[in-house]
Amino acid sequence: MTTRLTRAAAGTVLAALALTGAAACGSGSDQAPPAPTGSAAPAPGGATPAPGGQASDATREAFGQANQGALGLVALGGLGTDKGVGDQVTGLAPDLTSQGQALLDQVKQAASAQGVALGDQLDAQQQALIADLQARNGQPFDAAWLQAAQSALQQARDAADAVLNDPNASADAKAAAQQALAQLDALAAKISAASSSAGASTPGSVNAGSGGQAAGSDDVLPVVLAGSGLVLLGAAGAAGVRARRSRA
Amino acid sequence: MAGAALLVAATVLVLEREPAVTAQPVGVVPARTAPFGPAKSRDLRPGAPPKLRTGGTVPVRLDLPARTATAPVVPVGTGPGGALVVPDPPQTVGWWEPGALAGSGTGTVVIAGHVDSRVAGIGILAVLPELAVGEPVVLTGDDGRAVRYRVAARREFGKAALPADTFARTGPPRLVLVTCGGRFDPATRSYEDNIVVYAEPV
Repeated sequence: MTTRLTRAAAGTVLAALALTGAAACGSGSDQAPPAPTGSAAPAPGGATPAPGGQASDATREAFGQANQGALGLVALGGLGTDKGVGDQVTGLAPDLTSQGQALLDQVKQAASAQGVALGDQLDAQQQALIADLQARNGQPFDAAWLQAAQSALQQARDAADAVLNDPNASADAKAAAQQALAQLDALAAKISAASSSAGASTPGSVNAGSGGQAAGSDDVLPVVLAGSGLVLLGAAGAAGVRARRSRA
Repeated sequence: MAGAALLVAATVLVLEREPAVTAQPVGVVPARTAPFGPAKSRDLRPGAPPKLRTGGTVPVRLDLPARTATAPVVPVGTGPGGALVVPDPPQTVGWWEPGALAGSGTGTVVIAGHVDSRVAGIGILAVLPELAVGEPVVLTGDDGRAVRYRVAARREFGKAALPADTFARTGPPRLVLVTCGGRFDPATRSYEDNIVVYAEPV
């Protein structure tokens, strides 16, 4: 288990580092829009230039994104470990924490080497998600946690995909992203399976109507008309028979 | 003669009618990428998520005040086939439980209900094609809290084309009301489309 987790975490780290590498190439890719980095109000877990740092804005943004994503994974994993009740959540939450923590450590180390200081707070959206989950207990918590974990992992996979699709990313960056994607896919597949069995997967369709009345398709009018017609025809037939008998 | 005419009329009605619920698109769908403000908490150590700002509430009642319409809300999930489980009674609506809580600071609160039912008639969400931009929608939580929204937009999608972000777990908070619409197929007793109303918190 430890070996698997380490490899998975390393893959996630590679994705983050590949992302920073791709951003450092100065690509104009819009597939992974950077977090706002206004110097006056940096993202809570985002990146700011350290004294003497030489990193470009794009690199700081990429580090900030990776750091923020890792903080989210760690918080989500910790919450699942604390509040999960089912085997699926209590089994998967530590994996999420491990991957997130390893990513966090590696990103901070790499960022520090390039003179980028990273924050350690969740952003407002992540805080709101955690608060939403904390308000639940039992099976409803597990279902919501699985859905949130799916969403967080999908965002990480999207980041790796962005590297793969960036024409300016280096071959090394793309190879690292490919490896990371494979690792993320493995955990995402487990969480997806758990979500499905818990009724927490994202619905593919909504079937919400079977009567036809709202569409003016109730069967009453045709039935009334047909019934009346049959009654009239029957009455006419009976009258005809009586008339023939009375003549006879 | 009259009886035959009525039979013919009934046949024509059955064969020629194209029953449908239509909804004109209105308003602007709330953006999914609006920026958030800076974090307020300063106690967020990795691995130990602390108590943060107040979370949302489990919705138990839906009100459309402008129409004096009210419906109980029950939690629902996703069925084994991947379809949202919608409560059978059309006067009851379902809240997609894995999604956002009412009043949550992020994500979409999804409420769905039958537009009609063969055995129970018209549903409460049959009014969705008529809701106007700006109209109020209120969700009441199990803690008694009223969470107020205003209609921002309405769209009609083919069922197979319902956007996945209808159920978005992140992004700015919003409410989505979903029912069926479009052409009704009497043979399969189902509608071709979904009508989706988007509302933003007040």
